Amino acid sequence: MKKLLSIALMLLVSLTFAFAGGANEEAVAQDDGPVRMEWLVSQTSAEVNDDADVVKMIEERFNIDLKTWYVDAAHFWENLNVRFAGGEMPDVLVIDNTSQLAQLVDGGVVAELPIELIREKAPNYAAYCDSHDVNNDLWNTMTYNGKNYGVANPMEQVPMAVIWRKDWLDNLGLEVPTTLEEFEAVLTAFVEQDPDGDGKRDTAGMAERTFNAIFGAYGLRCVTGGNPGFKVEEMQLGEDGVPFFPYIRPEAKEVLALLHDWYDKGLIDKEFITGENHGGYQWLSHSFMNGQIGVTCAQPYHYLTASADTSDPGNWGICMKEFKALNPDGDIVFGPAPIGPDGKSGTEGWNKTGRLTVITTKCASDPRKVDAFLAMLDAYYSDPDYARLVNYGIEGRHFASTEYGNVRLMEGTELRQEGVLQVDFGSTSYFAENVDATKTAFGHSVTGNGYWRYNVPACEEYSSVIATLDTLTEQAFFDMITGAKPIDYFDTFVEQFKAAGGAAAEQKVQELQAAKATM
Amino acid sequence: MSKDKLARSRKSPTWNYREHYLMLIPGILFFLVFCYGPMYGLVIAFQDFYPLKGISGSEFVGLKHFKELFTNPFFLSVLKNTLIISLYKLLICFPAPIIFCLALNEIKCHGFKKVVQSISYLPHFISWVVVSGIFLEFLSPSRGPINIILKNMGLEPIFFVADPKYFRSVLVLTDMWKSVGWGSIVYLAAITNVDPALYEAAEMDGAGRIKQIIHVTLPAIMPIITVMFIMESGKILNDSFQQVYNFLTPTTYGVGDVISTFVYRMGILNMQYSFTTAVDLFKNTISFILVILTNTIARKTSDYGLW
Amino acid sequence: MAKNRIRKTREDHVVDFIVYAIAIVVALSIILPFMQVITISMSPASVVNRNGFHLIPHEFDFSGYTKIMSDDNFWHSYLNTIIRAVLGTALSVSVTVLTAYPLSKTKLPHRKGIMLFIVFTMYFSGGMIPTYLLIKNLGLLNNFLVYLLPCMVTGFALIITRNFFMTIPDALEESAKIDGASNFTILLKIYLPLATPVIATIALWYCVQHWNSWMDNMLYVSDQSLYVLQYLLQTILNSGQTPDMEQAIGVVVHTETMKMAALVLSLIPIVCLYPFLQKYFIKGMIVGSVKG
Repeated sequence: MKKLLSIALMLLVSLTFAFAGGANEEAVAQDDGPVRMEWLVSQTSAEVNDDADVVKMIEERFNIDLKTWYVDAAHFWENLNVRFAGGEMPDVLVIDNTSQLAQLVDGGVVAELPIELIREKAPNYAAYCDSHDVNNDLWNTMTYNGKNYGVANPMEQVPMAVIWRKDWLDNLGLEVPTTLEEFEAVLTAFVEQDPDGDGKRDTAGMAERTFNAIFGAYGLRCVTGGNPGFKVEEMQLGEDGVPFFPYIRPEAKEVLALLHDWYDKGLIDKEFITGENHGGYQWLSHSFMNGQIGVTCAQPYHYLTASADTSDPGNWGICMKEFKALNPDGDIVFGPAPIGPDGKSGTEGWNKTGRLTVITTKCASDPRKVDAFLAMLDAYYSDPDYARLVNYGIEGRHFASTEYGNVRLMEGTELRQEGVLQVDFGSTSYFAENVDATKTAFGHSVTGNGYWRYNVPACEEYSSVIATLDTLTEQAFFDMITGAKPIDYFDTFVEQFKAAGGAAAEQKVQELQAAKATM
Repeated sequence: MSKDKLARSRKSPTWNYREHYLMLIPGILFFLVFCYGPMYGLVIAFQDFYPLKGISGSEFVGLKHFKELFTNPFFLSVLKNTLIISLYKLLICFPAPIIFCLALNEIKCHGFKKVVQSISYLPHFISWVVVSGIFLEFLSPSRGPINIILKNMGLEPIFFVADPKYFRSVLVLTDMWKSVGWGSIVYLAAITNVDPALYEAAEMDGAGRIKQIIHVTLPAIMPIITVMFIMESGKILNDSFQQVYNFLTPTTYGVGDVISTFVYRMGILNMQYSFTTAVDLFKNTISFILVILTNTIARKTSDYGLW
Repeated sequence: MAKNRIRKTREDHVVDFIVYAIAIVVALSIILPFMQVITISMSPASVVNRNGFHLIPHEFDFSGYTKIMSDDNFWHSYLNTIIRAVLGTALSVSVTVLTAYPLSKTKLPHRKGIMLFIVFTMYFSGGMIPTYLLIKNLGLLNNFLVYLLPCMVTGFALIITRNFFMTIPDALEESAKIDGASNFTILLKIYLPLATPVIATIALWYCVQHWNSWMDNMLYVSDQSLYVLQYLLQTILNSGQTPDMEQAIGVVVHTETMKMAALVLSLIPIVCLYPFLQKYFIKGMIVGSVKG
């Protein structure tokens, strides 16, 4: 037993050393050789082949040794957080929203990137930002405790479009509705008048993806995400410049009362709870394709790329292709967002300032890496060919330039393996103007007002309570829509929401916003 | 070491078993390194752990994260859900393989038995992601076969997966679906070892098949049932994350949100390392107490136990 | 025993009815969803997305299979999994047997303590992050050994094996000892041949554990040449849900048929191997606990 004990002790001691001595020894690159850069662009679908031509071209241009991270999308933050805890990190990282910034900075993952340095090393980016700073807050989006972390990009995005089954409307002799009342009338007809003509009462009006348009009719921003759920972390900026949580506004109660009424009448598909998508590409709406519902929301280009012409297969987006495969005689038409009682209308818009890209402490420890990062950023804002290369790949192999704009020739997974979409900054305004003009122009022509994301200033009060507020809101909203709880429960919910940290978070965010405005 | 001491230790029982201890080394080493090694990290439950500061550099905050857990508005309902779902599973999913195995044992047609057996193992090899996909489709109110039958009988379709009334049943039944065949292996193996003479003797005494099951087969597998039961009771707080996560929707949070899904949403997705670890520690402690308790009771009442 | 009987009694009929009913219900409830998987794997996408039953294929399209089978990564990870299962099982079984043998000796000093030391690990773990730190500091990241070492022994298999060993009469061992055999020889020559059934069972458990595991791949291995099948399967099955939010690339990722085809292909070895393994532990064994 003594032997056993001594072995045990020895082991424990050596283990402790193993823990203690866990510092990361990175091989220091020689000054003239390419510097190693590790990028993690966000959730993707495949590991990149390091020898791919696109990767090589990027490496040569910036004299770097590019290695992109692939983290399983299904367990993205779980996986990543474990690696961070172990001291492993990429050099460049894209975060989902500013609420993550506080934790990442405090945890020593994200490093400061001074604005003066950005202005010096990425002049084209800086100049572009100065001229496209719509809300005058682009430069302080990434601020935390008075310091700047990473870069935000002026984005050019199209709000969600409302997409109708044109064949259903035609069968019933109906027009695309414009007001909320007309909207309800059409949904009712979809339920009661057998729009698909199969003699069965088996159709509903809408499901969860259209919620954002209904909230929009009451002036509120609503994000239900890929899976049904109400995302609290996406705050809204009021017209008076004061940010707020849309889900606790009195108007939200009206919307919920309306949705519950519709749910009771069968206008909302009972299966909205499990989502419109049953697998595959997440923007496919199976409920819509399978003729369960007659209206859905998506980005215009998911259905049509360059014009409202649905007869031309070259113009079809992915969702349209799948839709047509199932319904060769089916047709769609874009409609406006319904206008609410006070004349408001609009759909969810992703963001005007986005693709929040940060550098890590590992990157900051080597000035050459920081320089390379800023050079890559600047190239994206000064060289349309480079922007096209990292976004679309090589012409003829990865995409074709057609009258409909740039059309991809490979599917997502292969494209990722080929190194496309790994070091880009998304559909920035610059990119939309110079590369994707057709798509963008068409998108805006079929959509109206967008409720854009407000980038919450990073603070502890906010990020520490978001998970609780999310659960609270989702549970209460679904219960009220399905009638498990009466609409008057809304007042109780608001109390709970505020007590669970919602009031303190909102107040802190408003203070920070006010401070920003006076800066 | 003096000669005298050496001689004395040579006589000691430990020395007599030196070869045995030698054999134990790889196994013990494994447990020490890979099971006890990480336990050092449990201290972060009492710290505000930040990755780059490491365990030694992070600040101690005492029971802060435990307080946070116990005062969380969802904690009680989450704990309740976990316990109820686990108890249902213990009541229904635990005996299911035993009954299935007793039934199989009574089937005399060998070919049929083998086919059924082989089929029953299949679900064990599919992940919950797929299982949930299959069942969402299978139980769908508009497309699922069960609801189509209900509708043809003139009944209202039921949204099993999203209805709080049925959600726990869905969890229990899918768990049973996945584990009944695989779980029966261990009992089946024990049954096949029963001495056929025992059955013959029972038959001589005029025992019918039901009596044979009760007096011969069941006692033969009782020890393994006890062991399995002790092991299962320790898992009461170890809910099946993969399963619940893939079935859970906001309408069923009230009845289906369990500790692991709760921690996932609150902790892991938000870098709350210390909070997560605190919950783990809480869970582990209760589990271990439960095992000790069940083992003691089992030994007192039946003489069988894990150790 | 049945052959002794001349005529079936009423009880026999009732019992037969019940047991066959149970067997059929279990079998059917499992087959139906599987038929759905198999049908989807060999149907064209247009049929799959349509509403209604998908239990029997009526239109065939094997493009899902062609696509997955032309994927090098798929076969590579398949091979990795097989290597892992074979090596891992061999290693796990050896260490388990080696550990179980001394613990089956009731007179072994400190036996209870050691057992408690082991049982404790079945209910207490350090959690994900400390384990990651350990694996990293042991240099096991992106190392094939990470599949074999951290899951080498499970407490349950160890207990089962030990309990089996305890049923082997001491007399056998005593006589061998008189002939001067060492404990290793006794284990090899006397215990092992008698213990084939329990070894077959734990080997199957370990093998299945290795076949099914993917979390270790996800957390510790980022080198694609080391991927195992189940992890690849996970990424294939989940990839459709990729929230390419701002990006929203204009291309379809994986089709449903390909996912199901991958699933069916991953099940084939298990279905093929199973009948052979079954033979071993059907022969008779006792697993479980005895008075300790």
